[in-house]
Amino acid sequence: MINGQLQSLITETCRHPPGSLKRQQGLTQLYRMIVKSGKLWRENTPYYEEVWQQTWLYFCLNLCEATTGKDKYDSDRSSITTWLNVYLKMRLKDRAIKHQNQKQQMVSASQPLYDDDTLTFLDTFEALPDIPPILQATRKWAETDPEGELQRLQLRGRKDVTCQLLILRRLPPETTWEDLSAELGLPVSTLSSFYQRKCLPQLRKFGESAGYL
Amino acid sequence: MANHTQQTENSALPMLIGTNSRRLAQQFAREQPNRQKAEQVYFNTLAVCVVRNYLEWMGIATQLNAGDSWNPIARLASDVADLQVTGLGILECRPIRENQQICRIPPEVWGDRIGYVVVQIEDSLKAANILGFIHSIDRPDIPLSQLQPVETLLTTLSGLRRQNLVNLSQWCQGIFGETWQDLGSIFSTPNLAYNFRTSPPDRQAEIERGKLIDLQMQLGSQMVVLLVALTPEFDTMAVRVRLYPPNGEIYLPPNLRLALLSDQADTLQEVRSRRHDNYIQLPRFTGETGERFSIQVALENAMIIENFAI
Repeated sequence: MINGQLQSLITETCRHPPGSLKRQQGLTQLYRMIVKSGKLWRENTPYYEEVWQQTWLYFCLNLCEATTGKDKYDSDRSSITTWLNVYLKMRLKDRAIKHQNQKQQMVSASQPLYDDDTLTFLDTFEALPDIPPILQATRKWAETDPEGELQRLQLRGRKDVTCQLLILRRLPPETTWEDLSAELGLPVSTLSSFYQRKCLPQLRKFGESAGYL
Repeated sequence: MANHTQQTENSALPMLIGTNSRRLAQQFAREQPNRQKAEQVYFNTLAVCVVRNYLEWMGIATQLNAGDSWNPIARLASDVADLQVTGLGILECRPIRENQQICRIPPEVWGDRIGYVVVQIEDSLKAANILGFIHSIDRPDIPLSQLQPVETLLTTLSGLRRQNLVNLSQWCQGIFGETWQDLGSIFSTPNLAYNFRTSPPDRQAEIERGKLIDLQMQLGSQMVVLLVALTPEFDTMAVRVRLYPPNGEIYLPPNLRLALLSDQADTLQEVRSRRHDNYIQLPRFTGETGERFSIQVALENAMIIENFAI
């Protein structure tokens, strides 16, 4: 990575006002270049990724103007990667302290402190016999259709194709669009467009009113 | 083919995925009734988080909670990974796994989208690559070679922002557009609040228009009237913004927020209604020709943004 190239890109990016398209594009390009250079500090701690995100937000906000930091980036004082690494390491240090304190507070050792970064949790689904309550409630709502709205919403020209029908078929274990299309003799796009425009809003509203949000 | 793959690789944006995103994805996945659905929801959620993260860096406001992907019932009944871009529309953030060369777009998200962002989630689940963006699709399977670099997403959003802009200079020429109406048409019954003028009578040079806004909240909706009044001065314009209850109502609901945002979505001014307000208003402000600002109206979880250029 040629420093001169980087510097001229910084200058060019900062010529444009914050939030402008050219500024955003410049920041994106700078991000790519700097990340590809591999010069940023890396460590294998559980909070690293979050601190990384925080650092790049800081970069975007303070490269050209001091939006949140005390000063904006000054190329006379340090290289861009040094500037970023200083911030990154400071925030990592903050998190390390927090992490240490949390560890000391943990009473039950059986609960993992951080998340599972594998897909093994999916294996538990083989063992689950019960239908989740959300699915049960949604199925019941669609079946009983208390306001009659789901039956009232029909595909034009096809009284048999209602939101009630489609919702019940698309709730897991769902019938594929291809199968529905074959069964009802209608193109996938006709069915899915009707579903998206008319039926999803009903599901959304049910989700909001049933207190699921 | 090799050339295209290389091109996609070179323009891919490497991102990292934090524990908070993974935890949330797992939480959403656990609500699902079977493994297949759980995996779908898990990766959809991660993809949305990654894109949102990037947009946050770019200063583009999004509303996670407004998406179907964040609504337990909606995501149960559809394969959806949507992200609301405030004031502009909905972005679909489709996940693919490592070594997948084609991104499949489910039918239930073919409509009503600004476009599709493809996010490759690495097997480590700690990193992802924003591979690119496509504005519209004519078939359900997108080969990665067809994707534009993520900069195209920025261009598209910027274009939308310009399109939705209310051009106030045009108001001075008598061009208002359909949604901005003369107040006489909005308030057919004499509105006490509207007629009650605290401002001095030298506002004859004022150009006033109103727009009916429908705030859709969790339970029910609320209509309000957004009033924008301009007083053109030499090379500047003075702007007055007020919120009124709709025709026939006397009071605004409490906790209604009216805010003035800069063109970077920073809140410059904000006012909130109390119990029995006939209207609320922002302090009068002045701007130069070309300057942009936004007005935000919010009540509970409903929010509308109107973008203006002087």
